[in-house]
Amino acid sequence: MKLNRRELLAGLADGLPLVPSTALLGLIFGAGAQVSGVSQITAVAMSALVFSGSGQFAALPLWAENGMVIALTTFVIALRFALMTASMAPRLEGAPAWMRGALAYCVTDENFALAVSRRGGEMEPGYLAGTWVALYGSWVLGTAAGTLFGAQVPPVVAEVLGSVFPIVFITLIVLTCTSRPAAVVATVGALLGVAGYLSLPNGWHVVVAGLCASLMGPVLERTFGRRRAR
Amino acid sequence: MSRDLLVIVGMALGVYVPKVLPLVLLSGRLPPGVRRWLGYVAPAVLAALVAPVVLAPRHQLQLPGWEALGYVAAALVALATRRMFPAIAAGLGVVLIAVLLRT
Repeated sequence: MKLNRRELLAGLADGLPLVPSTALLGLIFGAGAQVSGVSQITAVAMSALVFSGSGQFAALPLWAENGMVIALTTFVIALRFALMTASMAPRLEGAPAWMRGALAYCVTDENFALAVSRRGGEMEPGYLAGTWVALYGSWVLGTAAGTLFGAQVPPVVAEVLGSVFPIVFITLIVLTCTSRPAAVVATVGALLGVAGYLSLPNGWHVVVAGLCASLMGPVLERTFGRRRAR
Repeated sequence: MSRDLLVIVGMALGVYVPKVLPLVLLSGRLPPGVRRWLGYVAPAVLAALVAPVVLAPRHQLQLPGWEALGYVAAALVALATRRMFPAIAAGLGVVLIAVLLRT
């Protein structure tokens, strides 16, 4: 199985409209990383290796904490990707293991949504690779630009950048709350998060509160479902 | 620097493992219970992450300041458009206006 060049170009073309916003988000991340005390080279290396907006923004307020806690938090945030790649697996059965491994790295919220919305949600390896090129390039270059500019931001901009983190995450929460149980889970997660932050060792509140609140989801689903059935 | 590199590698693995396991080892077979649970991890974790930053900065409960207007704006635009970028732009725009008006 080889990458189809036509699919690669189609993916690249569909990824292009996402370039300005991805680059700008990378720029905000790079500048925000400077404000959070992450060095320039670390911020760029992070974008190049980790390649995950939500995971990287989450690391900023935790940066001074234990590295293990940062990695675990990133892991828990990335668990949602398992749902996406699990749904891709049946369509990629013919692909060799190395290609599936590489495609797993390419998956993001954005290009998964693009691939799913194509004719019948077909997962073309070439298409995914094409969208990845557009997203990866703009994310890494945007971060690099942000770190250059973040070193000398005027105080007003620095103050605005201080609220980037809550804004990005409140947006992500709204976008992931697609049902009533999910909204309840998010509310409980917020309360447990504050309680855990005030009582647990530094940094652990995200992993502990997030896991506890998410386990309520399937239970709530049943309760809400029953209520609706009556 | 080496600490930073280690943390980055840890984060990269943290992101890659959930992506690659279902595709290479499990070939897509996730138990239905796990599948249902995974759908709730993102909202729970993101809320647990952001709530202390907004409500209890520096380990003390306090009411959010004027920048909370930007958070509300981002949430409303996200609800209306279901898209990430316009919501973030709106939130940052409101915070910028608030900062400029105050100075």
